[in-house]
Formats: sequence, C-alpha cells, structure tokens
Amino acid sequence: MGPSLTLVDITKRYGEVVAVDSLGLEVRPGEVLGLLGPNGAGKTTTIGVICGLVAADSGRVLLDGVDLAGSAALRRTIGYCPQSLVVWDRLGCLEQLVFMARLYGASRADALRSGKALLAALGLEEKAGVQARRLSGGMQRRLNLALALVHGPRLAVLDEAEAGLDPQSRSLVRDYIRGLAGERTVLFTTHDMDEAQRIADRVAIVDGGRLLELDSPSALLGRYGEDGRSAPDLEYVFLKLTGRRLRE
Amino acid sequence: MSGRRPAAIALWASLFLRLSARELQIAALFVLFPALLAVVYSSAYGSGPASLSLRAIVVSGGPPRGTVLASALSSSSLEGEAAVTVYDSTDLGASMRALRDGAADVVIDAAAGDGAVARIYADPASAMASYAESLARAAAASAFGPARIDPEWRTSASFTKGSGGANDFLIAVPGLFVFGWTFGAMTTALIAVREIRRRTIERAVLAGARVAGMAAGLWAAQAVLGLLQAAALWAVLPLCGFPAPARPLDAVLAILVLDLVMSALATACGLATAALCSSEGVAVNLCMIFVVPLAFLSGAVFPLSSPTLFSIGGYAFSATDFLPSAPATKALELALVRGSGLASAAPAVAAATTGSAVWAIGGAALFGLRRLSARRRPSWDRH
Repeated sequence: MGPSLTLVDITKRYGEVVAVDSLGLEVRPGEVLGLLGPNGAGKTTTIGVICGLVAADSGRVLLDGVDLAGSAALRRTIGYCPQSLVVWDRLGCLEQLVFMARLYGASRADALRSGKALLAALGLEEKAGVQARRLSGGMQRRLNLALALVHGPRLAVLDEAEAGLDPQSRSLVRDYIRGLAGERTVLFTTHDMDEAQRIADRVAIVDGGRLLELDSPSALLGRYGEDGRSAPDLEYVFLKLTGRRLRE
Repeated sequence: MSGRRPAAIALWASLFLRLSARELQIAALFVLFPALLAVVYSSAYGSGPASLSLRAIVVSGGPPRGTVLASALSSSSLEGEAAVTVYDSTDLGASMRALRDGAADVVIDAAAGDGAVARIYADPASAMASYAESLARAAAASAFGPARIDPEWRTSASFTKGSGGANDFLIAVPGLFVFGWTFGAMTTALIAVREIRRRTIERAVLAGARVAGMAAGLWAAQAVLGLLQAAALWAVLPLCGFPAPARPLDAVLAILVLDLVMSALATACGLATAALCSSEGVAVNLCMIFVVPLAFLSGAVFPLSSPTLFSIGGYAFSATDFLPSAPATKALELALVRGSGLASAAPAVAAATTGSAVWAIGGAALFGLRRLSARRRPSWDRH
C-alpha cells in the first residue's frame, strides 16, 4: 500500500506573490488524487515543496506521518514527473532509465529489469536504444513519466503528465496511472477535467494557493448541482469554484 | 546511493563521458585542438634544435655585475649540456645587430644601470624573452641572492623585432598541454549548464545526488578527455620535430599526474561558471573569466613575467601564485623539455596540486550551493 501524504499549513512566497497560502491537504494511502487549479494557482509550487525542489517558507510535508524535511531517504521514495520534458536528449531511452534507477541505488540488473518493464508498459519497448531527441513529442512525454517511476517510488507525483499526448497515448498513460493505485499513492495535476474525473479517487481544487474543495468527483458533482440535479461535469464545478476570469 | 560514493562517481563519469562523446563537434575540437596548435606553432616557428641551449650576449660594463652574471649563466645546464652559450661584449649596439641578424637569441645588458640587474632584449612574442629572463633571474639569484624580493635586481624584457625564434616551439609545448587541459573548463561548463537548462539536474537532486559525487564524476570524465587530448598532442609532437624527452617515463608520468590535477582545476572552473549562469551562450563567455588568466596570464601559452601584486612578510606574491597552471607549465617544462627527472618537477607539481585543490573545493561548493540546494537555487517554475 502506498503511503499517506499530509501537507500541513504550507506557505510559499516569491517576493510579494503568495504562491501557496497556508495549504493543508491529506492524500490517503494508495489513493489517486488530482490536484486541480487554474494557471498560477500554486500547483507546481506545491509539488515542488513536496518533492523538496522548492523550500517552503513555513509548513510541513509528512509521508506516513514522518516529516520529509528530516529524511532524505524518505524523499527518495517519491517519483516526480515534471510538467516540462526533462530527459537527456542524447541518451537512449533504456540508457537513461538505467542511469536514473542506479542513481537511486538499484543494481545494474534491477535497473535494467525495471527500465525494460517500464518501456514495455508505456509502449516504448522498440525505442529502448533510441536517443530521446529522435522520439516524437508523445514518446518523450511517456519517457518523462517512465523516468519518474523507474526506481519504484511509493508516492508518484505527476505534474501534467498527460499534457500533449494524443488520445491513444493518453488512454495508455491513464490506464497505467490508474494501475499504480493501491500499491502506490498518486498525486497528479492536470487541466483536463475529463481525465481527472476518470482517473482520480478524489480531487483537490486550489486557487490563489488555497484549497477550495477536496472530495471525490461524484460528491463534487452532487454538491455543486442545481435544481436537485448533479453538475454536468467536473469542469462546471471547477469554473463555479474558481470563476471565469482569465489568469496570467 | 549517497553513501556509495565510488558508484556515484562512476555513474556520473560514465554519463558525462557519453554525453561528451555524443557532442561530436565539441569532443573532437576539445581533444584535437592542442595537437592542431602544435602543428601551427611548429609551422610558424620551426621545430628548432634538439637542445635549448641559448646564445646569449652579456653586455657588461665590467666587473663585478656582468662577470658574475655571465659566470652564473654559463654554469646553467640543460639535459647535461650548457643551457646558455655566453658571449661577452661591451658594445650594446653591436650586440643588438647580432640579435637582429639571428646570430644570438638574446642580449642581456648587465650595464643598464637604471636599477635593474639586467635588461633583456629578445622578441617577447617569442618564448625566448621569458626563457632568457628566467635563466637570468636564476643566475642573478645564485650570484647575488634572492633576486625576486629585491627590486634592485629586477629584470625587464624589451621587444626586438626579428629576434628569437630558434627555440620557441620547444618552449611552447608544455604550455600547449596546460592550455588544452585548462580549456576543459569550457566543456565542463557546457555540460553542467545543459543539465541545469534541461532540468535533468532536478532529477539528480530528487535522487539525493550530492555535489561531491557529481563533481568527482565530472572530474573523472574530464581527466579521460584530457588524457585523450594529451595523447593526441604527444602523437603529433615528433611529426612537428619535437625531440623525444631525455627521460620519457618521467615525462609520461608528469603528464598523467598533471592531467588529473589540471582536470580538477578545469572542472572547478566549469562548475563555478555553471553555478553563475544557466545558458550555454553566457557560459562560454563567462568561462573566459577563468580560462584567460589560467592560460594566458599564467605564462602557459605566452611566457610572461608576472608582476608583483603585493608582499606579505617579505614574500612578493604575483598573479602566477594564484594560478595553478603556472607551476603545472613549469613542471612539464622540466620533465618534457629540460629532461629533468620527476623529482625535480615535484615541487612545481605539488604547487599545482595544492592550488587546484583549493579551486576545486571552491568551484564545487559554489555549484552545490547555487544548483543543488532547494533554499538557494533559483526556481524555474513559479506557478
């Protein structure tokens, strides 16, 4: 079972801008939680704080109740898939997966096994020896995801992992992420409300760095419906909560 | 992982070597450019004789200064032979004509009488001026005492068109090795900046990578590339007429040791550059802040006499005291050109090692603070 993730009163400012404002959130063990919000809502900063890439001004991040700030080893049980493509252009797919797994401490044999399994699961098996720069955009995104998961993390943090994928690839990745549930805890962000509705056990909607709602998609649809009827979809709920004003 | 340092070093070294090898233009240019420079140098200056013996005219107003200096110069030896063939003269004008006609490599005017113990005439664009000056300094030091700390015993060099040339290539070769290694700062900076710009360094941070492992891996990769570079240069030298070193084993050992030392220095400069910028274009320019002094002000490429910057406790510090490439060039000159044993070069190697270690710690620490620390590292995404 994946671990529980608890954010306690996280605040992060960039000068005058408050990116995350006293954010509290709990992700249950083995759950798939979608973190939704408009551009600039603080999603990526929140993820950066969870992964240790951004230092919060205040607050704590707990994994199974243990503060991540005090445990580098615990932090390495997190797998992070960044929003932008972060791959080594001139390394082969398997080559970079093996490198990452080994950097996390895996033996060469384990790293190879894990790398090959991921490539197969994400439809990149035939591209094992191909350098990343020679892959299509969609393949690079799948490789981006594989790099986050190659060391077998207990918590997968996926920042818009499905952005830019065609429907076939999106379906593959969606099924794969869903398949992670239980054994791992998954926190993901997306701007695709349909995807969030399909994948997530619960969704957290944030704006201005604050948590606005946290519940299952069906519960939110029921809560924000009108005239005794459920809301038509999650996007309706999202816009009702965050408004229609353009951001950034 | 962080506890298994050797594995981390091997991983990073292997990654950086593969990335370098796949940037064929950079790798080929880096590995081959000192060898190409050797060809250019030998074409320009000629390969010169197999001996560095210098034809020096000592212009003396009479004893004691000129005689003592001439005697000290005569006793300098090189590869078991006289380093300088000294001709006495009292006529500066005739000596200068001999210099211009190529009958002498250098004129040392010991009768200058303007506070300098000797005034040296040679072509500063050639290596001879600096080489002659170093011999004159050493001779003056042995004849009169510690010449370096007494302004009375200054020497100076003046440009004399058409002079010099005979042995320039031999003098320049040690500097070619050092220049090549120093340029490793550029390749290190480019690799490190690319990791930052493409954010692959984030993945390393998440995996708990530490700066020591990364820096040591870069150092190891740089040392391998440096060795290839030295091998290419070594291979081309005989074709350019460079005589085989008197003690080849000592020369090879000196190259191996100095490759490690200078690679550490280049890695440090590359990491310091990468700590301060995050685009390749800026890195190339910024890196010159390190490469130019290390290659050019140290005397590695153009032999220079380094002016005193300040004095502490009677010791005069010059720029070369802070540039490990200066003693590295000196050590290679001893082992490669002068045929001295490794033992003779050891003090210079030790000085280069100590200096490079200080630079390496500084460069790695700056990179770690700026690029691997969540609290100090600039944020890329601010959503």
